[in-house]
Amino acid sequence: MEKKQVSEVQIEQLFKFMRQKYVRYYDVQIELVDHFASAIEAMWEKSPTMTFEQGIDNVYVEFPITGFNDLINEKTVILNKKILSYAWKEMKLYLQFPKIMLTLLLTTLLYLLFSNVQQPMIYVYIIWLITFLGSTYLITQLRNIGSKKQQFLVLNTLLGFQSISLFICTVPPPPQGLDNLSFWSTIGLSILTVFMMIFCIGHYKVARSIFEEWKTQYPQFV
Amino acid sequence: MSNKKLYRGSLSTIILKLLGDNGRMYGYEITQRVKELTKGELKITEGALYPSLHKLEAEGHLQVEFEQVNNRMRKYYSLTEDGTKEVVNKLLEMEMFLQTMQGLLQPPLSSTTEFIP
Repeated sequence: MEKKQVSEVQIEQLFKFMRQKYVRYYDVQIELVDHFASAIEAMWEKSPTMTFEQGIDNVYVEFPITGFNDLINEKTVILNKKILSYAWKEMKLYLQFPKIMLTLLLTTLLYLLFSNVQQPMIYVYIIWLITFLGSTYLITQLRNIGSKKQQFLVLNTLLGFQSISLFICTVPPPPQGLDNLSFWSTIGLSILTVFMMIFCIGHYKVARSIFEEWKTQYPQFV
Repeated sequence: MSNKKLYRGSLSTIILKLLGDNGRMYGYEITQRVKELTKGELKITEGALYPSLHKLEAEGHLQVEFEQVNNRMRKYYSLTEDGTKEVVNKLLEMEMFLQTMQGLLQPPLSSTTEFIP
């Protein structure tokens, strides 16, 4: 006897079921749909009269009581850790030879700029803002390319760490005010600005490599 | 008796070993293979399997590929080069753990005889 298989209409039903259970990301749905379909087909081998809907219920009870939420949350945490650890790795390169030369040069140039202009804090804030907005724009572009037809969890987490750059943008001016900065404040702000620039470059590079990986996995959505 | 807790820490090792032996596998297949190999003694829950697979993938031990099967997409996992090395490490770790446990639970005869008057 031929093996009973889940039909195309039933696959659509499974996608609908996932959406009803608040799984809105396609990259999570796709794996769960195949899991449900495979499990239901295996059940049909033992109980051919079981309905498709009963099959869904039987598979669903095997998942934790919180449904698919834990799965999505845990995947988000894993992806965030991956992005952060790759971004730190990228940043560490700027503290090692030869990239450290660029870091030192940039810090010196910023120090010279901040110590030779009137109202240096305004320049500091402008550079921070340009760095933050520039990298956010670039990463958002990547995310948008992939999210035209479907939502992907892996792309949705790309922007997660821009909050670190945003946090730097909210650093208040030193007590001396906007006009004059002490020697140590100027050094500190130059280092912080370079740190932010390197972090944004690292974050963008990681986002880019995750996006490239996504493109090879889901070429139909590019 | 439920021995879920005993197995929980070994899930990554189990997954890596299975993929090392079978090449590539998909989620449901892994749950069934474990059930079959352990004659139903160990049942990997879906809630534990997928986070473990995703973690191993994020750590670079697993790579994924998609394939159209019947009328749906299937996500297959296989070991990366790093993953292949990790299998060896994990199995060594497991072997050492088992030896330690054995030593604790079944002390060698020589050490027990010392206490005989």
